[in-house]
Amino acid sequence: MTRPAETRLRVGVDGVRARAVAVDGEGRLVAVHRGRRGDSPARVLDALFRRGAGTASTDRVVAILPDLTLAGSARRARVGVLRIGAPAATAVPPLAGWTTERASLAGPVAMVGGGHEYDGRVAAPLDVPAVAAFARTCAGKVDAIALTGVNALENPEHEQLAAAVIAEELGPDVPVVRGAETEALGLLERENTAVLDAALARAARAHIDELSASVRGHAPGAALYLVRGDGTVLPALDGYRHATAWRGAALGGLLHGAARLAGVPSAIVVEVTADRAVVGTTIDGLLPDSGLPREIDGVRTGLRAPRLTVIQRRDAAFTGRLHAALARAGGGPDELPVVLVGEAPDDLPALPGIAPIRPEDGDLAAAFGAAAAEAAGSVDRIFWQGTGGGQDSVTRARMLALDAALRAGADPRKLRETPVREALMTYVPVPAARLQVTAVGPLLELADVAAVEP
Amino acid sequence: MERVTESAIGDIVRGAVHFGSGGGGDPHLGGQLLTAAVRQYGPVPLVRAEALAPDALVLPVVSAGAPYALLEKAHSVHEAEALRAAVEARAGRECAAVLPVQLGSANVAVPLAVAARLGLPCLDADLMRRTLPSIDMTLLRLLGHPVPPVTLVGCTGAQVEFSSGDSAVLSELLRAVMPGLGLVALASAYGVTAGDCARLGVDGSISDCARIGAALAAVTPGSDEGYAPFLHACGGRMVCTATVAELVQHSTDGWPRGVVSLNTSEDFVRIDFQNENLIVSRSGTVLATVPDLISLADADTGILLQTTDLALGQDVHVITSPVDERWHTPAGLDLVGPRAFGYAVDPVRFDGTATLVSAGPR
Repeated sequence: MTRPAETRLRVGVDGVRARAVAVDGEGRLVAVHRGRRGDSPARVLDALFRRGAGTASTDRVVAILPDLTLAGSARRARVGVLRIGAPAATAVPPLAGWTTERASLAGPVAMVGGGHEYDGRVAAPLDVPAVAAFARTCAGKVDAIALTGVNALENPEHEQLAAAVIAEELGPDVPVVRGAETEALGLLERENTAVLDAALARAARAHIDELSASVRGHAPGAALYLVRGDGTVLPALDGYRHATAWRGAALGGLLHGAARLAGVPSAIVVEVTADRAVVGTTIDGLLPDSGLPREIDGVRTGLRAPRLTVIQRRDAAFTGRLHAALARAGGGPDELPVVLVGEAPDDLPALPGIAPIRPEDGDLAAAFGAAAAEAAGSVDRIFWQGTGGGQDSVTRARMLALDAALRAGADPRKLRETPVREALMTYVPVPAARLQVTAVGPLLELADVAAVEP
Repeated sequence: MERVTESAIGDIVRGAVHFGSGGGGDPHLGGQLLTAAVRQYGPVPLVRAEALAPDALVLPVVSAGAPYALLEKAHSVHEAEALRAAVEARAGRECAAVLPVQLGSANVAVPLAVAARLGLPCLDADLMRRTLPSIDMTLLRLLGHPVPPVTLVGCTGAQVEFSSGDSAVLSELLRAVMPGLGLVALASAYGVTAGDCARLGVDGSISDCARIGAALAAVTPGSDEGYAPFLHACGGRMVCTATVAELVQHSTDGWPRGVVSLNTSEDFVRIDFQNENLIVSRSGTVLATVPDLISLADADTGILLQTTDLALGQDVHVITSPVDERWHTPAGLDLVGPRAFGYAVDPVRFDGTATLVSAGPR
């Protein structure tokens, strides 16, 4: 039996601004809860359900969780750090440039033989006894493991094998975060991301389990997703080991949600609160990249940073800066509508020449964006083009992005793709290129799957 | 500057990006690599060539690798010792100091880290005074000094040496062995003494990076005036502020050729680049060319960018600045002028003036 589409409800939780909404199959707001800032996401969700928001027909809950930081996290875990690839890359050991204070979260750190070359061939055999010895050193001393292999995006075999060896030694209760789970160019970028994710794994589990308990209590059939920093979904089970992936979700979800509330596919969005305005852009479900890497707690990560401008309202040049930011955000070939949302969109001075859309319930934009969040998959790595020529690797990159979007939950029939961005190798003219591509689309409806089953 | 301490590293690699002219690698990896070496071995002493015996052998060091490949597979701790041993074995004597070959974020950090590891001082000098894509494009060669012997060491112990040969052939051979070495190797070239360096008259390369890097850190993004500390430090000028509209690259033979199209509020600006930015033109008029430096700064943060990493829609400042005068001589322009990179345009200096001497036909 499947329920008719119009009775299925999607719940979006904005765990930062303490808002929750239930949205029906037509995109209408069915129920709303406005809590107090500081309320936990689970508390906000409970309150929405207590308003009778059709708990039985809720089949998806998508939540924006607050950013976790090492400094703010009492439950940060001690991390064992393993690098696979020696003798390569040994001149930059793990955590090399971290401050002493940050590096103190690490337990045992080791570099073992193994790793691959740019084209995926084995550079050195994996030193399995050394991996096992590392795991034994970690026993009882760490709460999580971060391991990263040289060129592991191109060939993750040694990372996977090492993860299995470690799980064998330490058991299933010690999470193992692999670098290649984050699609990002750069060994240090992936390694740092894995270490931060591992350090935050306990705190992440606490947050997700609390929310998960609320979902089970009210809508046991519903699937739980988190919102990523880019405003697309992260399956809750992946969230345990990727707390950094949801950093910035409060703004990512807001940008998409504001455009949806305004009924436009792309927009310049301004969130206005009592103390600041944030200007961002959403283009057909994706956030334009800033071109700059994202640092967390002073540590370079593999996460991409969307292009955002934050302007403090106490800034004397507030209006001028806001105008400049709007002009720049709309710098593309197409005229984009401007959407004003947030707690205080009305106390913004008039913007000459701009007729902004002020959607009703603008304070719910992020919760609405969560309820309607799509699934995306990205590829960003070096492809050896060899004899197959550039076209083969472009096709491969596109397939990998599509696969990643499907794994995130996207409906294969409704995926959209960005053009493939190609950057050729400099200084060593060889047939290799960095390719970047993203696929994005709505989540697969579970009811649709059920409907086609015999 | 007398020595490189951990606290100086940020400025040095940041400033080195300026000499990369849009290439030379992102400074993060270089900074981490040098930090690791300084934490383990202590500060790196800097020396002037005149302070060493004139016949003292020095060890030129350059990281030969694609920046993208280096991000995945950084250097091994074994490469420094292997390179030194190979160069000393051929010369029959010991090296007294490390000599950076070029200025760029990777290629300032790597020789300093090698010096730390080997317990040698590093010369506060280099052979190019900027980043250039080929090991034969040096002021030393401009003076007639031969490029070979060229030595490459890979992380798994492989060593390659080209003891003689024409520089065009050598460059071709070097590129041919790079895939076998995993696209990353530590390299040395030129038999150089401290006396050669003193005669070259290059002084204060690392100190220049530190000084310009400190000025970059003092930039206040948001207005052209905010860049005054940096422009003053490098002697450059702000050409325009613009938005990245398109970036294309294509490779027919050898180096990829690329074009960045920028929109300003009133017109179009174009940057032709290969490994570094080579030509900037505005509505068809060439504003500046290689060998002078053409940099792009992120308008939001003031950070100098790698051209291949630009994002569409990103706002940037285009900044041009001068290099060593010797690159503007006829012989210098033959080696590194726009025609040497395959562009049929005459060289134009960073301030828009024609270079005083003609490059001559090639």
